[in-house]
Amino acid sequence: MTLRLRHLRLRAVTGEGLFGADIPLADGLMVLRADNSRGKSTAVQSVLYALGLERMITSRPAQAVTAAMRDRLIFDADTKAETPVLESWVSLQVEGHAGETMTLTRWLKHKEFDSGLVRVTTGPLLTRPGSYDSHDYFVGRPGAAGSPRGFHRWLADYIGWAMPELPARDGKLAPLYMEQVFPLLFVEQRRGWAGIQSQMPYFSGVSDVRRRALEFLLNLDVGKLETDRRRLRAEEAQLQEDWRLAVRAFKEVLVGTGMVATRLPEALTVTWPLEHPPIVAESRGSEWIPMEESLAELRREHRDLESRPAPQVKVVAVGAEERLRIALREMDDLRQTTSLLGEDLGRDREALRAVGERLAALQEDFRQHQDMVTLRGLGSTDLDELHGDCPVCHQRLPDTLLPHESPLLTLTPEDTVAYLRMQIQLFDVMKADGRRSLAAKQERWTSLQSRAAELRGEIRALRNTLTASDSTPSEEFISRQVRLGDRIVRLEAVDERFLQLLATLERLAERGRRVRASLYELPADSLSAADKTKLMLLQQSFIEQLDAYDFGSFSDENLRISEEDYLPRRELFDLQADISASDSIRVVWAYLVGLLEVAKFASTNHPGLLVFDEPRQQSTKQVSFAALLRRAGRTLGHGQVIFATSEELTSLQGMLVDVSHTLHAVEGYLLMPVVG
Amino acid sequence: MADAVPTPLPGLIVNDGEAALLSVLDAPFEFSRQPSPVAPLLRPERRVPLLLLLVAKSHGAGASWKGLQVLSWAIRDARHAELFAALQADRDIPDRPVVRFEPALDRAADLAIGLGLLELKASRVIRLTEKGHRVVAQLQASDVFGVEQARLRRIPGKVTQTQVERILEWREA
Repeated sequence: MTLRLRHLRLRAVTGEGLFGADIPLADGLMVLRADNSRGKSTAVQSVLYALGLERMITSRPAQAVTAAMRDRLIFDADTKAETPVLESWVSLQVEGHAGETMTLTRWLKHKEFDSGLVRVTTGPLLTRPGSYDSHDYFVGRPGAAGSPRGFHRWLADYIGWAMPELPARDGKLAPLYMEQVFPLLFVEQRRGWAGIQSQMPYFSGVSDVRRRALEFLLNLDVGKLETDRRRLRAEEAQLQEDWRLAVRAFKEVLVGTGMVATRLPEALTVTWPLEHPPIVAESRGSEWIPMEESLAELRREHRDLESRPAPQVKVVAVGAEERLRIALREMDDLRQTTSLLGEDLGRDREALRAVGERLAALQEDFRQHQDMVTLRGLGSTDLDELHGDCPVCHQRLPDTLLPHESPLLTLTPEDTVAYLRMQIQLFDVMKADGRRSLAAKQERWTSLQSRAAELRGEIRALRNTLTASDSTPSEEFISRQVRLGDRIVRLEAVDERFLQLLATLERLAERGRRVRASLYELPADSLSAADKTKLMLLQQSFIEQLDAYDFGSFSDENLRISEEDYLPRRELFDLQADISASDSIRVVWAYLVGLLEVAKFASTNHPGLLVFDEPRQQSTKQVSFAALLRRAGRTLGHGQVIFATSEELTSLQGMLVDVSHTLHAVEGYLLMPVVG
Repeated sequence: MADAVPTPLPGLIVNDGEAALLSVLDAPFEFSRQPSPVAPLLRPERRVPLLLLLVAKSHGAGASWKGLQVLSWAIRDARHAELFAALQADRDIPDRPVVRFEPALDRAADLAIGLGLLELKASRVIRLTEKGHRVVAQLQASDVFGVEQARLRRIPGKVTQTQVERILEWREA
């Protein structure tokens, strides 16, 4: 995880010529001195702008950088005469995780280039001009963090970050955005010093985004657990869906075959084989015969017919007469049964509709009661009186709007919600059950219909047989053989699909078992040993620094870093709640430097870069930056801390005695005419 | 159940006859009244805040008694809302009855006035008080009454008294 800033270049084209600034940025402590009204903010904001992070400080990207770069700049220091800016851009040369140097260019004002575009040049364009490849990315609009052409997706890869997906309030996942991590790396003078992460933009709907950003930067295991859990849940939901689809597809195959599947679990079931395995049954009369049995019987009969030659009419005539009589009687029965079943079906449909209506009414009632529960949860003091006594006569206000003083004891909305929920559950079951039995009856009806068709064929064949001449082969015998063959083929097709379904379900059950086991094994959402070490290191560094910085608000013995939100606390209270402005500056500095220092001893996602824009004079006169700078200079091994200040040069040099640093001091205005 | 002979109670009671039996039964009875569920339509904690939303939907944040009855009816059911919208747009669906007046709404209004959420002006117009406005803002920012608020939103603009009068007039004859 690395990000270093190497060189910042600003350019503005005006009617008075080309203006600009070039600031080389060194590793270690890099002090940039410029007067407050002469370009310090311009330089700092330009860095944010080049990185596409302006939403940390403003919701209007057009105003991300001071007017000097986008509107009018002073071209004559003596008369303070201004000239309009016609075109302007910012270039920032950076070095990333893999040690590659790149140059980022973003236009502020240009006829052609939109401010939402960042051009990445694959080389040190500013310090070693040459021809390098370049690619354009977009920023500041949806997709900048996720799309392959999104600049922040590129930047994350470049730094070596894998941005986590976080559970958002609407139940979806939202990525952790760059703008949500950088408040821990970049402090801008206007809002950054008010507190830790005070420049946090809210736009992803992730409710605990501050904590998540810290978990990410410190690379805490606790955040990863949550991500794992999300992933496993999503996987389980997918299996659930696959299961449902497989079962539904099979049931659709059964529609119109006169068969139903029973004991087939509708939802993901991980115990496989099932104790009571599912079966497909065929309706015959009022019975349901398992398909296997039915199939075996048909095959036996078929084989039996096949093994005999077709008999002649004279041989079968007597038996045929008897069979015709039986078939005709069966046909009569069948007609009657079918008509009864038809009525039955009508009644069931009506009952199901009634259950559906009742369920809809219950759900409406449920919703309205739930609103009441939510209302109470809102905690509106203006509505509190509804639950209290009359403000005038102090009698209890009625619980209902019934006309007379009601003797009723009213169930509370909470209890009613619970009561309704039980009813809804019951009616849900009734509805599902009603549907199932209706579907089964429908299959019975279908099966009766096809049996009737079969009988008609049989009767026809028997009649033909009886009227045919004695020596012809029995038509009835042959047609029976054909019909049997047909039914066997149909049943075998269903059987085949059923076996496929069972194989699919078995596979899903197996995967479901693994997912559920992994979920079960995930430890509770708590800090791992490595997490605790990191927080301990942070706490040590933080307290040590406050000591050195003359932190005045409280003695340090009660200070600690919370294991809940990773922020400093004094006993149980938020440390930042009531401290002076100057102590707030010390806290922010100590905390962010602390985060950087932890990275020296433990593996974190810190890119080793900190940018501090010194706050305006009035709040800082209490703070001696000497101690802060000394600490930053001392602790830095390989990191980069950029400190922009408007301190008097001589006083600044005094502070920096014995501190290893690089100083870039701007004389007069930052933006000066550029030659060539 | 004629053959269900009661099992004899322990020896002592049978031997000592009725007195002992009574002494066992002679315990005080306790009845406790169980609370009953009440329809949300009749609950002040639902009707009062909902009423505030209706007043807020009315022109100039003031509504007549008739206007409130009409609006309240309109948002109670999706079909009512549809008919209301049709009437607003000068179309009628003649086979559907309009507005059913409802005494519970009156009592909710009385309660809201008593609690200082609404005020009754001299012209019999009901208006939101400052407190009422606060509650409305809070409700609108929350997801409470989601369905009702959505139905209200579907009614364009604010509902004027003239509109209400016209809708009722149509059905008078």
